[in-house]
Amino acid sequence: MLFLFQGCAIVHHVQVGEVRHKKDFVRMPFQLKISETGIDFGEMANISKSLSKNKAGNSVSSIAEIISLFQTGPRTGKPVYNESYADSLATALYKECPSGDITGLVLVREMNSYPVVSGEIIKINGYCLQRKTAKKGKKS
Amino acid sequence: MKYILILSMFILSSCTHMASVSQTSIPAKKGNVVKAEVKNNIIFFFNFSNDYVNEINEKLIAQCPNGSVKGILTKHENITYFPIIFHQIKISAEGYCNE
Repeated sequence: MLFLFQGCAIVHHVQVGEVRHKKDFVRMPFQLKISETGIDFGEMANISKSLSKNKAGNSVSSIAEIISLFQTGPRTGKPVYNESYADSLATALYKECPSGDITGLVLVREMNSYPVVSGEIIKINGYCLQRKTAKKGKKS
Repeated sequence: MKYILILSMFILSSCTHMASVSQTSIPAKKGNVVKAEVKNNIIFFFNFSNDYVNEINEKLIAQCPNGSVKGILTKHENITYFPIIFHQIKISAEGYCNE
């Protein structure tokens, strides 16, 4: 049980961006999250090997070995099979703050890890600068 | 006795790993230095939320309410106090407050 649940929420990278201050503007906080499912075929092979002592376990293991040949270089988290899932980030930011006056971005690359699968997450917290007259909601 | 010594050497050893570093552009005119850090203690690798990271910006802004924070150096460290038993994740940010 201990090893099944270990490291459920793992932080890979944190980046704090500059915080701007503008007179007569307020900072309206927002949060964005995009994610993709990661799959670890190596882990899957190990589990299927330990569960079945027949050929099925070995063939899953062989598939995992072949796939690992195509996965090289530094990486964070488990492999995802949609490499463009983070591309919509800039568009999503502008949706949150149509004026484009964005500041104080904190980018967190994190992972929710479970056996075999994981949630590969990119989370962004930031502030949209809005004129005091156009203030809606909570001021930060 | 020898085994107890070896075991205690393993358990009592602590080390720090630098997981990531980032730096934004350093301004020509440097104001006061502002620092903020957030920590998360992890026992037996159990960690279910990373929301503590969100506080770091608020801590920076609180120290520079009427200015801009620039030239921010962010460090993300993993500290192992007792292997397997107790870890800490520390995120620190340091920048210049220009008013």
